[in-house]
Amino acid sequence: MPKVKIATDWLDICAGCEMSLLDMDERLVELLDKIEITSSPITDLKHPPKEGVDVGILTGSVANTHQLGVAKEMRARCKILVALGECAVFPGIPAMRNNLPTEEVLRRGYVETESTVEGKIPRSEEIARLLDRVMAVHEVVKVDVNVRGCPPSADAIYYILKELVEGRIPVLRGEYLRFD
Amino acid sequence: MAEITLTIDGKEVKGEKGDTILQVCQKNGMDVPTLCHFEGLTDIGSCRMCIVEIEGSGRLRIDTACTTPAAAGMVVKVNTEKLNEMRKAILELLFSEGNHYCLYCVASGDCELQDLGYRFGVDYIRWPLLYPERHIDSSHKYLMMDPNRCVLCRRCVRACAELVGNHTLGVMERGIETMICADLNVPFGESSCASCGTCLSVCPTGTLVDRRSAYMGREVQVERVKSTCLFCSVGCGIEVVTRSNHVLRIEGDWDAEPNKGLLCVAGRFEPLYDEKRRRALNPLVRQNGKLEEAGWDEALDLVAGRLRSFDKKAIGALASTRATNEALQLFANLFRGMGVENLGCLEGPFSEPPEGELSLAHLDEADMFIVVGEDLAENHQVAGFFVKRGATNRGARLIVIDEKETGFVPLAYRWLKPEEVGEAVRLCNAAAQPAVIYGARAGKELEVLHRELAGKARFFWMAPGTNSRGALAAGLGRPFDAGAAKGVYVLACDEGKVPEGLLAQLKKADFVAVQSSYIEPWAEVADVILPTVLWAEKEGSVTNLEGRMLRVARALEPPAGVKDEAEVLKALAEKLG
Repeated sequence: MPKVKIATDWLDICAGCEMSLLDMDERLVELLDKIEITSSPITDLKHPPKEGVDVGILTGSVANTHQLGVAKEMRARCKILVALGECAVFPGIPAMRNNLPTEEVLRRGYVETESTVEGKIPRSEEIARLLDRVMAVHEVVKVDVNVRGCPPSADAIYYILKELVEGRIPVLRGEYLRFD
Repeated sequence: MAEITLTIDGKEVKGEKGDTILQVCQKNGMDVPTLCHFEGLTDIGSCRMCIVEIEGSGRLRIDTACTTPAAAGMVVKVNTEKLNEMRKAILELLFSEGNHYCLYCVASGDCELQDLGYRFGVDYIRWPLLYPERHIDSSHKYLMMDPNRCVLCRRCVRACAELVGNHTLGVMERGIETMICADLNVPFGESSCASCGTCLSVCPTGTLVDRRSAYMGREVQVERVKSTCLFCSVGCGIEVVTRSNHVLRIEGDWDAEPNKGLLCVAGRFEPLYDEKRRRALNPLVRQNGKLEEAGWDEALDLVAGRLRSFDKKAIGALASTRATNEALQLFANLFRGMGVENLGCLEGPFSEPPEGELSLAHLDEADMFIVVGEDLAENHQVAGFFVKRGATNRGARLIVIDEKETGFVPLAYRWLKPEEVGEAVRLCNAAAQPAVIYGARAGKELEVLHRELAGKARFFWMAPGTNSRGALAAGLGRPFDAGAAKGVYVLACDEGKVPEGLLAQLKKADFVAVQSSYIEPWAEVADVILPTVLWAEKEGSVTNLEGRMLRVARALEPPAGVKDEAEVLKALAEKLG
């Protein structure tokens, strides 16, 4: 049976979900019999393969223009899209700035921070612009599996991957459904 | 009450006429999801979780079970796929309306909204989140209000109004702007709030939280011990929440008499927030003017030796009414056994209490309250809640007879001076079930009331101190002559308030031994301090102002070196021979 191809990427994150994925410990080795991890922030490939993958995993929320592009690209190149973690689904901590004007947020972050001397807001065209509203992944592309949790437990992530490998769409209930 | 029969989920069940559908379901062990419902508060149907289908008249009728009266022959559906889909959608609406960040919330793991989210499998929210701008109110000394987490169940509003009668919390604005507020939208800490903490004990989410114990432990990580509050004579049932031998917070026991879950600031918050004294951890003996640590044998030998050296007429023994019945009996027997007659209480003297046991629950039936010589806004506050809720919700008339303008005067129908007691008697003619509540400052006007209203009114003694009835039973109710006592023993427990002038008089005594949990306020007068247990470290019984015997249970292990109240007295008795 051909291995299930998986690509992962991260958006506005803390990398806690990636840590939780690695927390599967030796179960990850067991899974590698059935899955192939192509591109991910912790491997060398920067984009999901052009020919597409079976499962795409996105962590973090969509908070700037670059992340918007990453989410759309992942959606286009995978059959089943998993939004992993509170920030990707709810959308969590990054969204705490949603009731504040973006300019105010930039000013507070780059100019008014207590340890900054003569701060300047970066405006280069080459870097991503903050979106006025931080969004969950399902607000920009169609998501097939939403996994809440901050981070979702390694047990929950292992469960999802096993279900996907078996060809089922996982439904998270009981101990796997956590909002924190 | 007439019995009715209806059908719920295909099953024939019985209820009483006047029951709501929710009450019938609960009586028959049927599980209906609820959020704004709280036992003891009027149901208002604000959360919409308890919606049920009611068949009949051809049209689809969906109503909240908590506000719909059950009728005979009704056919109700509680558990259908459609209703559960609707309940899930309602939850998603609730989650999208506020800023519900479980990931850093103090209540996560112990939140009724979260529990419902897990139960109905809310794995993502289909509607755009609103991200309203809601400011945290951090102005209150004991609790914090974070409206981002509020689901507007209004339990806090109802509890403040119906259980406490304080009516501080209300609802402001309309529609999407609706929010809970204190008084006319003033900061919580500047409002008419009496800091009873009832609102935070009914809040289903992390909106109202106790500041000190925030993030210190989830329900699964803490222990609970049911005990009795020792901070006044009402004797409220409490649950002491501990973790690793520390008290996190004090909660009310919803099943306990007489308070049924209510507490006041003196019992819920002050013991933890405002206690700044130093704990006595070892016996202390005064040497060269300073209190030095000593061993138990040495300290007890000294106390016994010095007490024996006095003539029994020159010995005085004082007890705090914070002590248990068992300790007070031992104390009285020990000193009476030595022939000492100069015995008393820190909070005394007391006159005899009214005959028999009198339940505060009777106050919920009164149509008139006469409060004499007691400020129930300061003391015995939970008894005061009965009065406030009767006066503000039931229309019971409140008459205050007091020289001072107490905190209850603004609520009163009439404020009379003691010499105007006749007017109170006259007003009582119109009452069917008057209640007279009197405290330590009641004078001759009380005798008049006893005489004129005997057999008509119920009398409630707001005993000063805590276990005053226990002290009276041990014969410790008589006046104490501080001037005559040259050798004094004080069973102080953890009492912080000392009668005016007592310390000055004790300074003149030749020898003072104090059995106390704290070094203060005895540091200047004591020759010996014998360390004893705190309120949370005691085991025993106390008798409250109703005459009800209540259990005090140990919630904390005392520090090594600190002895139990009774143990110290027994050890002293042994040394005295």
